[in-house]
Amino acid sequence: MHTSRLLAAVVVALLSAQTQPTFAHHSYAMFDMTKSVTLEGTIKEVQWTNPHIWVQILAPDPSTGQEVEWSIEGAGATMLTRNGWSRGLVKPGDKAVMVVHPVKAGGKGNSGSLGSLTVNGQRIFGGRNPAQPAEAK
Amino acid sequence: MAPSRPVRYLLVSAIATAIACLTYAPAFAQSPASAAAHPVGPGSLNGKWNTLGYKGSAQNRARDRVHRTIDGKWPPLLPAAAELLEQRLKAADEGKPFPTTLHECLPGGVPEMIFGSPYLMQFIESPGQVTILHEMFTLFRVIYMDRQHPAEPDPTYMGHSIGRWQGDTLIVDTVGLTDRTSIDEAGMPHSEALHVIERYRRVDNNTLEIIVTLDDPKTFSQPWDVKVTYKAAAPDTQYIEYVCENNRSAEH
Repeated sequence: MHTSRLLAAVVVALLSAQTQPTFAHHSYAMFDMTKSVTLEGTIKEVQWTNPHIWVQILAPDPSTGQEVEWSIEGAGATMLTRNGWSRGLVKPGDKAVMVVHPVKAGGKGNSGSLGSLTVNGQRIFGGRNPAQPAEAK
Repeated sequence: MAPSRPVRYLLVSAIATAIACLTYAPAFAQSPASAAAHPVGPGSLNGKWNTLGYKGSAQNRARDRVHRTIDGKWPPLLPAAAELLEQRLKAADEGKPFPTTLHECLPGGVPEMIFGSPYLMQFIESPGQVTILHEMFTLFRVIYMDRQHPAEPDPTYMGHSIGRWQGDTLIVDTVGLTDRTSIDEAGMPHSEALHVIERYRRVDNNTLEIIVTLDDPKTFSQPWDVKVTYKAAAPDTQYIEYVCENNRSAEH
């Protein structure tokens, strides 16, 4: 199937790009890169922009169980495009599992930095942070 | 009198050997040299380059992203600048990073754009100027090869750059830099007195070495050097637009 071939190509591109910085720019100081939270929900919106993409996902807050909208920051659109991504890989309505590094205490809630992203059962991005769980496949 | 047969034989052999040597000597001389040959001097910077050793954000604390001297020492900051940098590093550790121009969706300028970007950089050498195309911010920089600095340039992000070749090295002298920018993404401050001297040298086919001297008597106790290395990008690498528009990082 075309989509899975494309996803496989992206995974290969990401693996072969490991010597390149996958995360693009700016400070991640507002995120706690040592913590990981898993969000499971529905993609609401993808902002394919620089300096970072932002993915809006509707998912339960792990502490309250209430569904809330999360703003998750990824690398920049330019860097992602170079590494084989395209905007259409993540679409509104997709079921997604994200491992994110949440904003530090005192920052605005319900946001984080993208660690890994699995869309419709297929992992399309595995982050490179050591705190991240091992690659599932 | 005609030479005897043995003498004639010797003469013919000597001439044949001489011709053979003349014919093949340049080829023999060239083959080891051509294996090592790479562009040197004017024209040698043309092409697309990617930085190595970018102090990428996700894996590094702000303190680890402070640029050091070539031998790995902390930069020679004067007390006020050292204190300011320390405050910024502490704030970053507390999740409130100092907003450099990059956080404001504005260019890092010189020298940060040479130090800091994981994006493509292309040199175009043409009569009278060297142009650097920065993929980041879709921005270009001109280095004039045919003039001096204006008397009192107003401060800008890229400053006013003049260059000259000295042997295999392009020496670029830049003044007129705004103090809105930081030396690096960690937020190292500088003043408008910053004077940057870059030495660009293509050390082999794939490697561009840049030694950057930072001289700012209001910030540093003495000039100091940073070394940056770039690798050649595939010539068919395409530029991808980078307009900074989604500035939400600054909201946190």
